[in-house]
Amino acid sequence: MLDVVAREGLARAGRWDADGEDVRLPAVLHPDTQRSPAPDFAQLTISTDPLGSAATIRYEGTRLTPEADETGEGLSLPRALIYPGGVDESLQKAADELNREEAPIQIVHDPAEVGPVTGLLVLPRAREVADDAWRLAGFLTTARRRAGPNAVIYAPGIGRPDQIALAAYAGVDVFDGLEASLAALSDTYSRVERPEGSAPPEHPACACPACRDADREGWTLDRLREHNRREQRAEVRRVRQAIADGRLRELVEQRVRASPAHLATLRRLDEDHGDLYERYAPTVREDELPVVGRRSLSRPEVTRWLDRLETRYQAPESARTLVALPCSATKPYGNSPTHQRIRPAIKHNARGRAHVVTFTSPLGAVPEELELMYPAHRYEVPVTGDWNEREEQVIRRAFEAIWKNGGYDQAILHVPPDEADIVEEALPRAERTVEPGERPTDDEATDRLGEAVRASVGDDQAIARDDMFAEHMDNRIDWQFGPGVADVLAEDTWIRGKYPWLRLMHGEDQLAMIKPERGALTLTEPGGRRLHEATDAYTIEIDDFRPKGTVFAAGVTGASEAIRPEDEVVCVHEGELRAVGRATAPGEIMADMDAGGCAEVRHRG
Amino acid sequence: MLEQLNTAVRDSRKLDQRDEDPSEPSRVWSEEEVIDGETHQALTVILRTRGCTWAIKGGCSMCGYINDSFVKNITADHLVEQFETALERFDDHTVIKLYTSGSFLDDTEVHAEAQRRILDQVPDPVVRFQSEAQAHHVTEDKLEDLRHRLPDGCEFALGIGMEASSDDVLEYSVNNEFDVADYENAARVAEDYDTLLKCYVLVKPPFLTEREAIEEAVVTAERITGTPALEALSFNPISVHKNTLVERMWEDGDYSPPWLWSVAEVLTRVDDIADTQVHSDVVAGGKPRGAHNCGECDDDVLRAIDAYKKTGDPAVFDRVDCECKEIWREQLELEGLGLAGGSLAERFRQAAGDVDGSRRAAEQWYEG
Repeated sequence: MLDVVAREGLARAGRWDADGEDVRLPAVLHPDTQRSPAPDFAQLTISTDPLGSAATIRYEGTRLTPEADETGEGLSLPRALIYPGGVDESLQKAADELNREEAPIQIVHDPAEVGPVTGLLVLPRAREVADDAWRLAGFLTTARRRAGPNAVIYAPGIGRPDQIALAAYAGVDVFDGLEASLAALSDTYSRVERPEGSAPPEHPACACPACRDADREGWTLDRLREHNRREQRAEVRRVRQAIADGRLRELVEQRVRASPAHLATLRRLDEDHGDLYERYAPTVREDELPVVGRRSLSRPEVTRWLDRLETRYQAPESARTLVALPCSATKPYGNSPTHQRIRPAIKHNARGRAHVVTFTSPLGAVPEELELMYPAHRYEVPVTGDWNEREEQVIRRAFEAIWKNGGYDQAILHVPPDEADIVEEALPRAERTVEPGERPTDDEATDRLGEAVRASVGDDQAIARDDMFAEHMDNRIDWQFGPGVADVLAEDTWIRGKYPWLRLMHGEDQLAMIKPERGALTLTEPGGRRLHEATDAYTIEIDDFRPKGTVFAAGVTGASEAIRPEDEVVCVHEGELRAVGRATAPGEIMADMDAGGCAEVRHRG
Repeated sequence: MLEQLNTAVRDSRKLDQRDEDPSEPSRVWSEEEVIDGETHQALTVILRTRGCTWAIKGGCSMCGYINDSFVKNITADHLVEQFETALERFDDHTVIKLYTSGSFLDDTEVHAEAQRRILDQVPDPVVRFQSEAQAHHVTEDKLEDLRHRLPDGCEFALGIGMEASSDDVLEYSVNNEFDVADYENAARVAEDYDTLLKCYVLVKPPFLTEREAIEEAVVTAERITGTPALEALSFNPISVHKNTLVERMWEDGDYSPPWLWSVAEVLTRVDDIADTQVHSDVVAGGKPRGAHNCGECDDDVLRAIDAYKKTGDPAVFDRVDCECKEIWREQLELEGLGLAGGSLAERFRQAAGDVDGSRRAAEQWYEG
């Protein structure tokens, strides 16, 4: 049984009950032999002759091993046929055919041949694709997608410390402990920041016991092996922690800098498999999201933003003038000193008809009513005003989408002239209000902005503050739950509270509220009822019970594939609302999961 | 037969029919041969044939002997002529060894008429005529037809490439055409017709770990040792032949020839269980394409293997040692646990300071 407590990307942290022993994932599989016994801290071993207290996979040889005794007790590796990859792939396919049988552990060469697996899946080709950037991303992603959420994936040959974060992100649960021994036999000192490792240093910087001894008394094979195992273990623990913290992507982005091959693999993951990763990426995060390199520009939360601007977004109906403002370091923008100096000029002149859109990277553009949404509410980017070509392209696309999906008459570009250059072609009727040499916060500039806004809205009828707030709320609802949902969820409602602590009310019944730290709307039970009426896209079908606290996979019979982790969801049994809460897993795997939580519910129907 | 394996083996070959003189044997040479402690002069002849029938269809994954054959339009007369040409060098010889690229008793490769006429011409002083055959060609009809043609008192010995004994190894690794049951039939027929068999056993067929290879060789010896007509068990560590599946794997780092330590281990263990002659002919020993160790100790171990052949005393192996033996021992324990076949062996080789890849570029021994 597998109990996933946290996930990020395709990585999972949790516990796996391996034949009665508790193994924390991600884990390392340590070979355990007479000559090189597994380390004391091993949780999972592979051995021909199980001795220790760890969970052990019994190895009885392959199909080509003569006359081994097959005990079949405990976790025994099936005696499969394993072919190396240098030969024809047809041979490996033939082996997959021959190996295909009901076994507690599956050994499959070709990820495309993997079927749903419950228990351990071994990918013997992993060693051969481990450093092949062209193949690794597709290999691991395909294996995980096809094996499903109940498979514990072991990738023999992947276990160097520098590989672990990236491979975990791509779905590997169990890493190869043999790599630490092999490196030691080759007199190589493992280093997480150097894929090739190094010669054992005379005075190691590492503080592990083996390095302390080696510093005083010199290196031995045993010390080297122990250091290598500890370096590997430290990284696995770091990865586990990062998954629990929701910060694995950041660790991966740091690690891939150690090798062009890793960087290329991450690029393939983002570009070839971005859709899959987007479905697994949370829609809410309370932490900031640091954008520290080109790879950050392609993370799923970022690509999703642009995608939703193009598919889910409609500018507020009464907005006549789009006002582009520069990015600021403080998020949400409403709190930024820069914006606080500029925005009064708009507010006092627009009569509710202007719509502020912040010019930024990597999200491209952030409409003011979405400033609280993840990741717009908290992302950190080096704000230098220099954008690369790709960033410029994203910004242009974002403004284009907003313009097209709105009823604007005019755009005002209150950004430095070089930034205005970037978006001008996307906005047919644009006026610049920052002169060369000026800063957007300069009085001359803000005065000019005020004039321009006043002129642009002309004689249009003023929009009441409450109406504007209502339009913004509708937009947040549609952003979160899809186009059209606001028509039902916000029907006959009013807004209570001071921004950003807004509540959506129907009479005196609260339907939803914004918690600024989450940014998204949190539903009450009546709010959930309305969501259920409006759409099935955020529905989890459950068995006939009244959920409380965690809704476990065992009780889930189906779930919408639109659900992302952290989305607000409703739990329904045969059309009847049973609970409202937030998802803790992607909807597409909920029905397949054998164990683990799918949602945390607050309100019972 | 695993069709995909057979196809991979066939695709590794470069089967271009050659235009060579069909009346000239491929090679002829003289060498010394010790039989029962007595030294004999042996005339060794390699016939040029149309090629091993099995190899033309696909064949064994490690065997490249077809590279020396596969000649166009060979007739029975040509084959007899080749033998006659070789006999021109017949002098004080008392042993003749005649090899083809496959099976001397295969009528498709060597016309039945040629088999008869060649045996008819074996000169009188010869006390032993030695050749090779595949097990399923050793039939009653065949030996009835051939055995009596040799001079009186001349031994008839056939080498049979059993190679391994586990069905899965024969089918999924070697791609052998026959199995142990075929060998046992051959052994019964051979006994009835006063024919001796030499059983060839591979050391390290492809896709096996070093340990599996040792076990398979030993298990094969166990199965064969009690069979009739058995004269010797000959252990052949793989040497990487040109244009074979094994060569392709070796080039990709997915196959490493066995350690000489493994050969010594097999001989030591088989010595204990076999009631027949046991020896090993190491082709390309110490070279990248043959069984080898770290480079430091190869000559010592090869000498020990030779000494064992002469003395039959496995204690010769106790007297050689080297640091690389530790790495070999680690490999025996760990390689299988790595679950990834081929390329792991290369990692242990590298740990022993034997960087096969770079040595390969320089190696030339097989070019001839």
